[in-house]
Amino acid sequence: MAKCVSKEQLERYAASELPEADSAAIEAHLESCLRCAQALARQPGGDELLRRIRDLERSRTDIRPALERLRKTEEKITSTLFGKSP
Amino acid sequence: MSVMITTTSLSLLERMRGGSNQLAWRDFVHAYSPLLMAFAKRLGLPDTDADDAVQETLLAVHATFREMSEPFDRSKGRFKSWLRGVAKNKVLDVRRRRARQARREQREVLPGADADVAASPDANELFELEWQRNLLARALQQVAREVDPAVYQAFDLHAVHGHTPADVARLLGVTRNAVYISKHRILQRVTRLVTELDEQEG
Repeated sequence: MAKCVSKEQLERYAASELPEADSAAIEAHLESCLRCAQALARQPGGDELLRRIRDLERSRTDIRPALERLRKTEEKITSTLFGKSP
Repeated sequence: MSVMITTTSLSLLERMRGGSNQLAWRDFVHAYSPLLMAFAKRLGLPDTDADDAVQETLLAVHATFREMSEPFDRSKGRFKSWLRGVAKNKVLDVRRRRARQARREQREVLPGADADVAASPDANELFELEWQRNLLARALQQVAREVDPAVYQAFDLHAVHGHTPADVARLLGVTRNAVYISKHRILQRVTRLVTELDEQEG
């Protein structure tokens, strides 16, 4: 796809509304066209998900020591229930 | 740098049924321990008590699935609600046990030990919050396994940690286009996986 992606097509691609073949053609174009790749990055959506991902990273750091402890307990429970580890 | 996506197999809950599939059990423990741990701590349990509540919840889950001969029927109740109930009860059990122990030893009782803290509406909201976080964490882990490590790293550095596409491209030896595309594809895949997991296990 040498021609740049139209605004409407890019919006539909970003919203996963296009048939697979059309999406594949757009992706092939995005690989080589920086202007269209940057336009994709400007599409709305994803901000809320990214905020949740960053928040998750912080909360997982808080309980990491507890999860390390739990890993040892997991082995104990598994061995109680099944005998030995898989 | 290609973004290969594979699909998940039989649902985790279905694999757990009968209680004899050790790999399914291991997957379950890995998938749900962080949720149960975070929930127990949010309900105010100190570390060792939270450990106990999580262990007891996991054992109760295993006992139930071991007895389950029919496929999990969502019309009869949702797994999420059932698990929340079990987790809340185990937290309450641990708190009451510790309160009794403290009284016997004439020590100060843990604040709220006698209150039905786990039965409050707040507990349901806290569980839901941790449930959603856990779905997201599992979806991210799955995507990280599915895609080329460079794709995931590009996403992590740019979208999560805020490095510029140019810096990430230089660091990883890829094009800026690839960085933008990685962000889009991974967010798309994570959204789909969260929905799938919630449909299967929610």
